[in-house]
Amino acid sequence: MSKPGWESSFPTRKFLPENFETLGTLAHLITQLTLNGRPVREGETECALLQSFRILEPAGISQRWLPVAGNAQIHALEISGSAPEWVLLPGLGNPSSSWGAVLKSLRGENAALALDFLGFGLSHSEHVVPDYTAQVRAIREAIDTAAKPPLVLVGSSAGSLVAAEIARQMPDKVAALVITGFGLVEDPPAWRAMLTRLSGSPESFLKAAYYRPPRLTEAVLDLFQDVMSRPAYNAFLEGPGIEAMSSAFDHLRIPTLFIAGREDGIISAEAVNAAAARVPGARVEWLARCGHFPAAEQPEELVYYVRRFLATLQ
Amino acid sequence: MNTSQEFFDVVIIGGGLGGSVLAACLAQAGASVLILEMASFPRYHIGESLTGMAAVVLDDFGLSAEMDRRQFPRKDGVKVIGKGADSEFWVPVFRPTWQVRRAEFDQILLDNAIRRGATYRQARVNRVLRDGETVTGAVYTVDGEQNQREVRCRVLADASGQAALLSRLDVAGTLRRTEFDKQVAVFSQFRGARRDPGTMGDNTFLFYSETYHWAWFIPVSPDVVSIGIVLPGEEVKRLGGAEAAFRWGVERINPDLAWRLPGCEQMEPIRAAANYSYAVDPFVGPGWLAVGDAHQFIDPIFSFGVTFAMLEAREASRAILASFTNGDWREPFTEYRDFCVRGQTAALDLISYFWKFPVFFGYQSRGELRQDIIRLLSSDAHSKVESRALAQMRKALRRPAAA
Repeated sequence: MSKPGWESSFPTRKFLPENFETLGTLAHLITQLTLNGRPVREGETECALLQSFRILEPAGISQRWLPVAGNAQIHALEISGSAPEWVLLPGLGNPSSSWGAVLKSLRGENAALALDFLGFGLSHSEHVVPDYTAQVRAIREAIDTAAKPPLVLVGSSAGSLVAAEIARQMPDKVAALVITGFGLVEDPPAWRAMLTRLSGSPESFLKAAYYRPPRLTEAVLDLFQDVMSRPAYNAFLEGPGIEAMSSAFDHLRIPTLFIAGREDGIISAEAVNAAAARVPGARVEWLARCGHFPAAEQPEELVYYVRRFLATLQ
Repeated sequence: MNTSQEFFDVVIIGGGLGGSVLAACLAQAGASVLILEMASFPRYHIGESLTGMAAVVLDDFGLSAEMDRRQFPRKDGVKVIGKGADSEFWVPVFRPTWQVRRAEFDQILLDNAIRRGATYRQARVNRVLRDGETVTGAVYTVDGEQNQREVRCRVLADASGQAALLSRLDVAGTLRRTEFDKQVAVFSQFRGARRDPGTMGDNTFLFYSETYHWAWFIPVSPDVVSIGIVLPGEEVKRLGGAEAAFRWGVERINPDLAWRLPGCEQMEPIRAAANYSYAVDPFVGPGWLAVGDAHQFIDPIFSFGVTFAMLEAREASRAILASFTNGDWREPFTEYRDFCVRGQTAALDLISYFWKFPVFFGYQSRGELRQDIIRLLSSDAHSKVESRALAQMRKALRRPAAA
């Protein structure tokens, strides 16, 4: 690896800035390459998170903070465009920038809003550790403030649990619900125990969650441990959150699409099919070579399947 | 020689898709058209994947319902699976189109031309007739006849595909090998290969190995796929010929391709197409022009060939009709030539960029250049206005824009 600069070696060829879209994306790539295989320096984790937002700016994705009850603020990434507006809810611990590739695909076409849960990404709540009920309330408030119906609610993993609940609460505003990386968890305590076991080994967790797991660098490890240690992480998975799982797909009367990775080691195929069976008229699309996070591993494919689904509703 | 001399406004050499689209457009506008096709249709042909702009032409002919009725798989995008199946990306099409069994597809287009008034004969063109520099007709032999026939015309159009007949007859320029000419494709069709689930599995899949080593996997019916391995010619030779190169490619190009084939049935012999890329210049002149593969063919990785031939045929029909109105071929034929050059150059630059900077290509197709790249991949590549994506790629390749 040559030194970061206007001429770097990647992977074996010389490249010049004109090969790239913007200086921002070029700088980001160089940083990523530079980080590979060397220990992360103090403060770099936060830097990486902030940077993940900053690199989306040149792509026309803007940030905003939405005040919600309890003197809290929900951080959002936003693109303008036509209806229906897509509202994107990340997996627990993932920042809104985990929807970056999806936002880029939607740009110039649909409006979209990707949200950070309270206690994650750049959202914050000052006084209490938010549980599942508080998260649902805050996200709904943020949606009411910033998103224009009709909405397409798209959830990733635990974000799907929240998306389903919001769709149930405001059926008139939601044109379609899209569930990714989630299904019917019929025995939530057993599932939670499995998740806890997996989380004990970051390597095992990444292997279960991704078809092509990211390399476990110091930076990735640090991010992983940071998420697991956040009070909001455990608060979500206790009490009302875990209780909501077994009834997440009851009484849903919204056109619903499930997009599931065939290699998802966190949510089984049976759980996806069981959830779809609970929602009248639900459709399931399977992605080959994809794990728990279609938005990360196959973002264009996800957008394609959602668009196809929306076309069938017209 | 049969002494009876016929006259048509336009005589088209070749009844493949370029010739048939040209014939249909001209006949529809009231021109008299004769198609001379050497092969007995329907016949096998390679080139099964259409791009988005082909759907526009088919729509104009009212053929979209027929395409669906034939159960040609709908193509919504292209999946590229990277070296070692370690990465992948998917590019949606600008407009949905189909993947076709060429024997059937070309027959549909030929029937369409005949329905619109074109005359069709299975015949071999032997030579052209000239009046000074101007081409005025052709001498041909109808299949099964001994005698030659003569036909006069205002324009002779070469749509003979890779035969590039007018080049071989020294009417058009010499066929010159271009950038990717050392590649060879070995291919066949298979029943029962493993596909991705859902409609995603109906799309074109490309398997990348390393520069100039790749494979295509194109579903052409609910249970049949076309599979082709493209390698440098020397490599095919070293491996012991087409059969051996195909087997090697299926096993070694990409593990995800290898995974798809066990237990499936080979339906065709392994075929080979060598000396892949070429250009003919000039390809327009007094009383003649060439369409599609008859004047240029480039690396087929993004399936431009079929759609380009259809778009060029449509544009050639406009040029020919304008030359009839103007009484002069120069301006409309020059415009037609420029149209073709713009498209072919854009495709060539896009493909060169892909081979030289595959990682960036995958990255940029998800970034700010996404819409531009999607449009280019749909064969919407003939615009006089250079897109931002093409401008950036040409800068990186240090190449000028097309004239």
